[in-house]
Amino acid sequence: MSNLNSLFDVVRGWPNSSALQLSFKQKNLVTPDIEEGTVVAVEDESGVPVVDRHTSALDASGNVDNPWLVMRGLDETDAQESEKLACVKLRTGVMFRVATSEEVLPNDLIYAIAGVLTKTNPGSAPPLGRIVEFHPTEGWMVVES
Amino acid sequence: MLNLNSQFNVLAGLPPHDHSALQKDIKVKAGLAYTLSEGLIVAVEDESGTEVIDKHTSAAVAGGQPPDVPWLVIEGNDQADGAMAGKCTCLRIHTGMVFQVETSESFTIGDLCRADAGVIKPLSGANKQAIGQIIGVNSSAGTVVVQA
Repeated sequence: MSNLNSLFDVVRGWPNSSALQLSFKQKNLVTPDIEEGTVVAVEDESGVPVVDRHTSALDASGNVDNPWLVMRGLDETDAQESEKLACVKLRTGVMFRVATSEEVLPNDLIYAIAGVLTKTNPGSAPPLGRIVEFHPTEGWMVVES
Repeated sequence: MLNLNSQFNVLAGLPPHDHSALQKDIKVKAGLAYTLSEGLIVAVEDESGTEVIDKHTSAAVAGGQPPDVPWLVIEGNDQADGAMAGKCTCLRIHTGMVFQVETSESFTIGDLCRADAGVIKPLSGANKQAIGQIIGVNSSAGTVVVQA
């Protein structure tokens, strides 16, 4: 949202509206730095909750996954100082715009592969949202989750 | 949050100012031999046409079946105003909240958790529906942080 030339934006649901916001540390040794618009999930690192890029998957128990959307990445100064990423929990009522190189259509279901939003289901995974708008010339889509 | 020595707290998502979660006051089921205190997971039942709550146990995951609708008690009927009103103040699970609750169970960050008679337990091989994910563990204090 604050990166120059970035297409990413949270359109509805933030801040203090519907979506849940929380900050997490990036997992050690993850490269490159995780940036805004990336889908991440919480993992354990010696008792500390950290995030890494997420690929959509159905939990072995049959429960849905718990992805978060990065809205302030580690490439930004304040995140570098705090060493934390600001994230919005997906599926809590958030609508956001993000750059994409894919051709999508409104109403397409959306998933994540290695943190990148895609209409390709990596395999029996629950969707994390739905396309509500697509702008092919500018290369962005709006997702509701 | 109000009980003396309670470790329970809602860390994020609590209405009105950090208001992602859905909050409602719901009547306690008649005839219960126990009170419903803060930090318990409850579910709505019917009592002669009135919505009431009792302790919740997560159901099994089943294809084609709607998911559970559990709630988190943030003010129980063991507190004066809850006892007077005969109601508990609850936040609906899965609407975006982070809360801390006491536990005697062993959790690892990233674990999914379920409810067993209102208490948070690890999601075992019993194929239960999850109510949230553990994002913090404090073994010495005996608390976990759950996002739901």
